[in-house]
Amino acid sequence: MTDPNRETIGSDEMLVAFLDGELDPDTRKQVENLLERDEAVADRLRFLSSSNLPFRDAFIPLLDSAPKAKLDAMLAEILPPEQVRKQANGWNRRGFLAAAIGFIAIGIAVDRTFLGVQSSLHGDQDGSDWRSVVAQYMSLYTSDTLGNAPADVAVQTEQLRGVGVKLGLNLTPELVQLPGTTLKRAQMLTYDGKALGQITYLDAAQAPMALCIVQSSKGAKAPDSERRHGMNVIYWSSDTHAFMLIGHESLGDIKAMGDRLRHVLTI
Amino acid sequence: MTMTIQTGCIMSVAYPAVPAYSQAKRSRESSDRVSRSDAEATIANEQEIRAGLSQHLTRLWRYAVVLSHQRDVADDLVQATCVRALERAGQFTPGTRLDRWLFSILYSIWLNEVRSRRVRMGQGFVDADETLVFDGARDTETHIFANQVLRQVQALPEAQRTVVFLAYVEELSYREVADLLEIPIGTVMSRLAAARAKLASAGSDRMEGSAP
Repeated sequence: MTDPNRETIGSDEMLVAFLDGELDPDTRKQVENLLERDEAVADRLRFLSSSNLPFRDAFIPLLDSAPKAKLDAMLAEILPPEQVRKQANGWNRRGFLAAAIGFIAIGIAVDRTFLGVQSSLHGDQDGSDWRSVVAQYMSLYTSDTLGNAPADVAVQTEQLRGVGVKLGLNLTPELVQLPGTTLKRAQMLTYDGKALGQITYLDAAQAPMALCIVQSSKGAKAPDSERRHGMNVIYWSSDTHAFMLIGHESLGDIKAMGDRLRHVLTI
Repeated sequence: MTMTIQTGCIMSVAYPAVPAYSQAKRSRESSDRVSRSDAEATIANEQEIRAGLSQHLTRLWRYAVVLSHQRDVADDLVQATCVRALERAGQFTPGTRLDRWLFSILYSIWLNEVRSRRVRMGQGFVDADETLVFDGARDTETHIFANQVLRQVQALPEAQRTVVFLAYVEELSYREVADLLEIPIGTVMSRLAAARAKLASAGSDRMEGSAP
């Protein structure tokens, strides 16, 4: 704005800057001189000054209508970059796989291949292999895999009904609901050519947890527990199905939840 | 306009050294900056930036609505800004205005990522009226007038309403607006002049009763 040439002094740019107090003293003086001499420029200034509106006040309602609680919650959910970096360094491959699995939302294609390959490698002698595969699979899950979307009971009811039909079980949100957890979704996977129902939850610490069910005719078996991939597992069988509940909660909690499920899921 | 925050050009923006965001912080920073490791500095910065974000969330959101005209886009834009700001905490220069820095990150994401993608996808942006109608319950005269001003500003082309918003609502100086948008100060002046002429015309129309 220093040393503007003569023609620009009376321009709208200069007049607006003059109104806004943005001119240096010299330029300001030049504009003032011009305004005294030139009626047309003075008129133009009057016209432009009519747009001196209460801008600040006008935008206060918009500020007030910001979804403050939602924004606060959103910010609180963002992990410190340090933590993200550590996770990324240690879990590159996992992260990639989880992303790949998450991307194919239904996941059938990937699951079929993944679980299929696993079982063909090992063969299922004592009925534990499916648990090993599920555990491996679950270790790829993060809370993000299960999403932050609020639970839609109608959707869950429909998902559970579909899974129940495939497995020959009566499944409803009320039945599989576990205290202290959030039911996320139910879906069908396959293991070794057999239907595998997976019902996922987020536990109290927002860690993923799952109840998995396959049809099994190996006979009823009392609950037992094990640790796989850093998670606690409780598993049992009925005459018709094998069940496993796997998660990061303490063994005691997982057992209690498993007992509850065992009682409600007796066909 | 090629604006990117990739190479730390936000850092190079020469904000006037007006009252530091935190005066105490600044003197401490400068006295022992040399002895502190980068990691320590990053963590300190990250906390400071998280606190600053928390303080400025609604202002960032409002700016995002002014840019995008859409509340849901604004939500996303603020979230992306938070993530980016925390990632680049180390690039913030202590002693400069944190709110300006956050505004420039938001604008950069808008310009380079959100807006360009929307335009490519052929999705337009809805009119101001659709997103910015406030409750009629408070239809006092002042309120109606404020609403009118808001709508007139929001009806301006994006380039103009952005400078009007920054200069007159957020009350940035011309220099600060130019730095934030990475445009010459002359461009700020011409956009403001065009916007003012338009607003003045709308005002005189209103006086004559020929427009609502």
